[in-house]
Amino acid sequence: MYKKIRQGTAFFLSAVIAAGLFGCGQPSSGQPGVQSSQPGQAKEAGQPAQTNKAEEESKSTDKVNVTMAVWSSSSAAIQEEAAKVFNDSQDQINFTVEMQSGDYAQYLGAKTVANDLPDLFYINPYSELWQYAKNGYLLDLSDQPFASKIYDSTKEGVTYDGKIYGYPSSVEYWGLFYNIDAFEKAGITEPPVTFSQLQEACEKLKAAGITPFAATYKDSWTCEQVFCALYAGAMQDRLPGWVADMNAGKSTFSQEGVDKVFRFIDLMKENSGTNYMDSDATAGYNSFAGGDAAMIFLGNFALRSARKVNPDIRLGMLPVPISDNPEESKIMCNTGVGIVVNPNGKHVEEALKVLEYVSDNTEGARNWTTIMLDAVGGAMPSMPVKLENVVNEPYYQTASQYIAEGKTMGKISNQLNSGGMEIIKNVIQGYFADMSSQEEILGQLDEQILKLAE
Amino acid sequence: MSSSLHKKNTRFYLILLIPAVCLYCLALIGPLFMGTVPSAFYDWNIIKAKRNFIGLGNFMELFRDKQFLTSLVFTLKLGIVTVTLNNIAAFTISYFLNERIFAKGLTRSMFFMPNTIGGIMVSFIWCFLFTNVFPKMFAAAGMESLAQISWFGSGSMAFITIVVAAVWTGSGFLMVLYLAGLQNISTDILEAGEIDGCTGLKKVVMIQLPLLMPTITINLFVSIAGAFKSFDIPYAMTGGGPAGATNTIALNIYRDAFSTYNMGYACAKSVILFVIVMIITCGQLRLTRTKEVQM
Repeated sequence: MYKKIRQGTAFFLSAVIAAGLFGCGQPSSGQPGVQSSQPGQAKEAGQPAQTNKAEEESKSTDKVNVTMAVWSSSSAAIQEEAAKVFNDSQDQINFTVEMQSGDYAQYLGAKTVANDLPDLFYINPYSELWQYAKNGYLLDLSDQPFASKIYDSTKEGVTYDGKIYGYPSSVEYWGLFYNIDAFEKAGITEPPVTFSQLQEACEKLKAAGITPFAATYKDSWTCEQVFCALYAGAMQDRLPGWVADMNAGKSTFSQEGVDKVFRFIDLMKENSGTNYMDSDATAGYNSFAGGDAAMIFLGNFALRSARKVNPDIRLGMLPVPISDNPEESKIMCNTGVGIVVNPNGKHVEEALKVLEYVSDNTEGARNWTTIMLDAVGGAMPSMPVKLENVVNEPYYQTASQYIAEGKTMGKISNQLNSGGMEIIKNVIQGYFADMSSQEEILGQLDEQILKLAE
Repeated sequence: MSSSLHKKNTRFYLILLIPAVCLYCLALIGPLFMGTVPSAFYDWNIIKAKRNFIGLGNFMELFRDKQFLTSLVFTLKLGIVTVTLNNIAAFTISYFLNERIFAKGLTRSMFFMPNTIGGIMVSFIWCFLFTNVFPKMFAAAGMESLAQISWFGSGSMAFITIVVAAVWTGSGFLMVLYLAGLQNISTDILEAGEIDGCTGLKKVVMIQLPLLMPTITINLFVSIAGAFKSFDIPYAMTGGGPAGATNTIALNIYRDAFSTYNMGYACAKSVILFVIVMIITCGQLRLTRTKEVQM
C-alpha cells in the first residue's frame, strides 16, 4: 500500500514537472517585446509594465488591441506618451508600442517565419521594405491620407512597384554633433567645415584636455553609419549611379576619393582616447553628454540620450568635412523609419486608424508626429509640420539649412541590396580595430556585397 | 540498489520516463528530423514564400564560406579552452570545498551562484568590469600598461573576455557534480591509501581522479555540448566582434537564419554542427568510459 502511494506520488510529481517544463516553453502571447535580450534597455523602456497595463485596460473595456513593433531607441517614454494620447482620445482601440531591445532585423525574421508579424511595425526603408513588399507582407497604403502629404523626396524608400507600402515617419540625419561649450573651452570660435580645420580643432581640443571624438566603436552599427556618411561624402554626385551599379553586381568600393574615407577614420581613431574599441554607443553618449568628448559622429537620435544625461548641454552640428572643399561638406539624410501595416493582421482596419493618427500633421494638435519630432534628438518631419521647441536648437537650425540647400547625401547601407548593412558593419569594424588594412576592407566589401546581387 | 529491485521496478521506471521522452521528441527530435534536416536541402529565404530543392547545394557552399569556417575554428578554440578551464577550475574548487573549511555551505553557494545568473546578465557584469572597473583599478594602482589594455579591441583579447565570463558562470555547476563525486569516494579507500603513503597530489592522481571518472565523463559531456552551442555570452559581450572575430557557429547560424533570412543555409549549418557535436561527444564518452573503475 505504502509502496503504491509512493509510486503514485512520484508519478504525479514527474508529470507536474513535465507539465511545468512544457508551460515554460509556451510563448507569452502578445508580448514578444518584453522577452528582452538586453534587460537594461527593456527596463529603461518600461515596456513590461506598459504592455501589462495596456492588456488589463483592454480586457476591462473590450477595446481592440493594436500593437506596433519598434526598434530599440531612447524614445520609449515619448512613444508611450504618444500612444497614450491616442488611447485617451477614443474608446475602440488600445494602441501599444512594443520596443524590441535585441537585434530588430532578427526579431522581424523570426516573426516572419512564424507568420506572426505585429499589426504595425517599423521597417528600414529601401531594400528591406522593398523585399517585404515584394513578398506580400505589407499592405498597400497608396490610398491613405498621408500619401498625398509626404514630401516627394521621402517616397522612394517606401514605394515598390509604383505603390506606397510604408509611411515614412521621419527623415533621420547624420553628421558631427558637437558640444558648443567644449568647443568654446578649447577656443574654437568657428566650427570647422573642412578636413584641415577639423584636424586643427582636434589639436585644440586635445590641448584643452578634451577628447575630440566620443568613441562608440564597440557597437559595429555605429562604425557602419560613420562609414556610410564618409563614403557618401567621398562619392558626392556619383553616389546614386554607383549604388545602382553595385546592386547590379558591376562596380566596386575602390572608387576615386575612397582614401578620404579612411583618412577620416584614421583621424577619429587618433582622437577618440585610449581603449576606444571598448566603448559602445551608450558609453559614447555618456562621454559626449558629460563633456569628456567634444563630438559624436552619429545620427540625430544620439542627441536624445545626450540631452537626457545632461539637460544643459548646448548642441551644434557640423556637416561631414570629408575634404578641404567646404562645398563637399554635407549631411547624410535617410528616410529613417517606414511604418508598415501587416495585411494578415487580426485588426487591419484598426491598424489603419492608428496609422492615420501616427501620420496626422494637423497644426496645433498634440499627436505622434509632434511628440516624436518636437524634442531634442527628433528627426526631421516627412511632411509639413509646425514644430515649436526643437527649431530653436542650433544643431537643428544647421541641419535644416543644409537640407533646405540640398546639401545632403543618401545612406548607402539602406540602398544597397538587402543584407548590405549587416555586411558593412561587420567588415568596417575591422578597420576601426586595426585588424584589416584599407585594401583588405575594400576587398571584403566587394566580395560580400557583390554576392548579394547574384 | 540491488539488481533484483531494479528489475522488479523496471516497468515503473519506464513509465516515469514517458513524459520526459515525449517532451524530448516534441521539442527536439521532431523539429530536428522534420524541420531542420529536410530544410537543409532547400534554397529557402524566409521572406520569399517558396522553397527550391537544391540537394547538397547548401552543404557544398559551406566549404567555400569563409565566415563559417572562421566561426567553426573559433568555436573549436573556445570549446577546447573553456572545457579545459571549466573542469580544472570546478575540480580544484570542489577539492578544497570537500575539505574542512570555514562556512562550507556559504562558500559552496558563493561558487555556485554565478551559474544561477543568466548568460546575458553575466555578460553585462563582465563588460562593466572590463570596460569600467579594471582600467580604473589598474590606473589607481599605477599599472598604466594594464589600464590601457583594450579588452574588446582585438579578436584575441575579446576571446579572453568570453572565456573568463564562460568559466566564471560555467564552473559552478560542474563543481557541484565533482563535489558529489568526491563525497562518494569511500573514506576507507582514502585512509588505506594514506597509510600506504599515498598523500597530497599523489592521492588526487592515483586514487581520487580514477574514482571520479564517471563524474568526469558526465562533466566533459555537459561542458563540450555547452561549449559548441555557445551563444548568449558571445552575443551579449562582443556581438561576435570585433569584425566577426568572436562569432561562434551558433551566432553564425542565427544571423544566417534571422538577419539575412537564409533559413535553408542556416539549417545546413545546424546539421553540420549537430554532426560535429555528436562525433566529439560520442568519442569523448567512449574514451572516458574505458577509464572508469568500479569501487
